[in-house]
Amino acid sequence: MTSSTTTPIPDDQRVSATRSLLLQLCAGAVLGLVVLYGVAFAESPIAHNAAHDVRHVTVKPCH
Amino acid sequence: MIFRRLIWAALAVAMLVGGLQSGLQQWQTMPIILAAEGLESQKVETALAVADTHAHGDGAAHDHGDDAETWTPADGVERQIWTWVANVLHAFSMALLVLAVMAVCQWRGSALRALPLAAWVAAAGWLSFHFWPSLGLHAEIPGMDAARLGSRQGWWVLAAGGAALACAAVALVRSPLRWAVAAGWLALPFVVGAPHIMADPLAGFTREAQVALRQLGSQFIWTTAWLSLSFWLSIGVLAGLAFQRWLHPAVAAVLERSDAGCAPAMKAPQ
Repeated sequence: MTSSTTTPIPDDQRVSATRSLLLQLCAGAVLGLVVLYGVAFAESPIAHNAAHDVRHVTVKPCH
Repeated sequence: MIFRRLIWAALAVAMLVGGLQSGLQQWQTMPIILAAEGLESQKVETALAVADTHAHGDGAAHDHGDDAETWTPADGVERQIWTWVANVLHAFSMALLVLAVMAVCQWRGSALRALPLAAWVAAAGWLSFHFWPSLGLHAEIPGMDAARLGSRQGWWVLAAGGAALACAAVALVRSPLRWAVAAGWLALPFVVGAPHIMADPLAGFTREAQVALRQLGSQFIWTTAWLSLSFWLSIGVLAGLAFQRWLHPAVAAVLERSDAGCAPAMKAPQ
């Protein structure tokens, strides 16, 4: 797919748009891993007790 | 902003998948967990169990929620609500990863439509986050003794990470060597070996309780296997629809303004 705009987009804006996209996707993935840690691995007794059944059912090491 | 769309799309997927899983678990796995917990009260704590199983990283003893000092959701509605919250958060974390990986595939010029792409990514998610770690550390019902928690968690991360890197190698590397690289990553956790105790995991129980728990344990393995399939199937379908609706157009607009815009774009189904 090529740009159909008549005004050329400066190179620095093109690179910065791609970099921004990838940074935002990385931030989303990292947030996903942090939430997974909290639900499935955090050793806090409160987190463990609240998510106990889900840890067992999703086959995470629990006790 | 892509990040905001990613969060909302993942949240929408998570609410539906988390609700579905809570319903299925209430029906399929809660009876097994409650039966195992009923038998757990008959357990005689062995020295091994105290040292290896119930000692957490901070050295605190733990006894499945019977500890009066630690908050535990009460059986019934309170426990169901917290299980629903945990299911939604678990689905949210997996949906975020699936949607982010799909967007990266779009950036790299994947020619797949949203649903087939979601199916491939969800299949990789099932392999990495359920199947591969489960081959070394089976699903366990409450009450079974096992190796130290930290070492099992470390091995789980190694198995999931190895399988995810194997999938990435197959999907991203062009060289024929990618199959060898993928096989290496898949083999690594099993070369290291999953941590297990030498003793019988049910050593602290009477013979009758052991028979009942073995039956519940094997039932639990099969039930969690099909529940994980239902989880990843629903994540795949719903993440595919959410991606097509909310993320694909936004990512395509960014790519149009960037260098990567020359790659063939994924076509949304008509």
